[in-house]
Amino acid sequence: MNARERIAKLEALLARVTERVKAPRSVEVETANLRDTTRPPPPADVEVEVIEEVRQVSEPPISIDISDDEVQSSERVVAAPAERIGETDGERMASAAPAEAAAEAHTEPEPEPEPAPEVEVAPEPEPEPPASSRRPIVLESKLEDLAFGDAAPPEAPHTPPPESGRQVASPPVDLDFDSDFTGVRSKEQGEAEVVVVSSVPPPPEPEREPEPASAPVDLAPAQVAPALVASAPEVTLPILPDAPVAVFEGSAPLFKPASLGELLDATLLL
Amino acid sequence: MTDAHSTAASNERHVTFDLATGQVRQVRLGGGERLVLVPPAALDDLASSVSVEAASRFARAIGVAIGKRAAQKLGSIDGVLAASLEAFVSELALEVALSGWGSLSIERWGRAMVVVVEHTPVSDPRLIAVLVEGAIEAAAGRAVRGVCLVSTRGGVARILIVSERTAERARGWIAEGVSGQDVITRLQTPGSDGSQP
Repeated sequence: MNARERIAKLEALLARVTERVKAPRSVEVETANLRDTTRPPPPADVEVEVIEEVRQVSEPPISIDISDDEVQSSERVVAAPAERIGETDGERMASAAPAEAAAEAHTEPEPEPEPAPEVEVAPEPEPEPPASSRRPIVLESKLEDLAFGDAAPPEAPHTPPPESGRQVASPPVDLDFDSDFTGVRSKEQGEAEVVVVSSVPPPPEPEREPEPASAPVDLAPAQVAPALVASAPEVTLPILPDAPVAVFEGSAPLFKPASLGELLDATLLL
Repeated sequence: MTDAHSTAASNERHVTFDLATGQVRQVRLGGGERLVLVPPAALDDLASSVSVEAASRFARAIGVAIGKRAAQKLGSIDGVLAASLEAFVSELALEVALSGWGSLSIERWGRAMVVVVEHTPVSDPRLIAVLVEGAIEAAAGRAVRGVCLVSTRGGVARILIVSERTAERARGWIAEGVSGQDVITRLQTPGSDGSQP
């Protein structure tokens, strides 16, 4: 039901109430009594007032279905008393007769009217501000604290990365394999290890802080790292025959002039 | 290469400056020969201002005088031809040095004879080549031609001593851009241009 339908229903209801008010009944007393026993409704509670009046005049209550979505927080909805389902107009009129009698009885002077139970109106919760409303910026206060206050420096946003370096190898796990089926055999002690000799000098190790003195640990021979051994290439030399493989006959012509005349003749013959 | 200075002459006086008469004389066995001290710039100006033939004659005349003095020390032309290479280089280098034309030495590349003159006073190596031609012709009595090989060092002239016919071939190769070492190699290679090794 939208707002227009609701307004239309309310207007129709108001018209019916107005007609019944104009009817010749003793409504003034009832209304006066009603005004005495009930608190003046807030101007916005038109619906509540209408419902109360209807209840006093024993009119069939008109229930208006208003969903929670349609009712905003600015409106206050008061639940109507439970009505008896299946009650006909005749029965309702019958039930209204004692009420009129009671109203007439109220007209009689009484020592003190019974105070009407006050309706406890719960304080309306403060409506939440719309999403577009201004909100305080927290960052500015932090900046001010950092600049002028004695606030502690904020924590690092991220944890530092892990330090690089050698990782501690996990201790070997003793696994029991059945060598007959799996082929896994345990490492024999004293087995030759492959040592890579590099010409590039290893980088200098960073200075380590002296470790606290502890009791000397006796390492087993297998746990001691073997010393680096500079491996030399194994050269296989050929076996050459002793016999001469080439024969030189004669000698290369060697010009060695004994005098200037010989050299001069030789160079003029070129 | 023979070092001319290693076999330099004794402490004998070779040049006399007569201050009274204003003469410079080179001592010779049979008397003295007058010399003139000329600045090198004047020689360059003279060589550039005159024709190539005139400059060549001028340089040849100087070389002939040097060769004659060397031959006179070695006795005669026969004495020069019979003299060892070291003896001839020593006398010739001494005369060249006394004249102020540089330091002379001889290189033998196989059969080729190359005269090297360092610290030359003139910038044109062709004048040195003509000077060496005249000195050897005057000393040994043979008609030779000096071909200036391309030199990479400044102030050094390499003169190839060859015959007139071979000199023409060598000059043609040098004009084509062949290096001096390749020219010497080609001349001693059998069958190159029909020459005889």
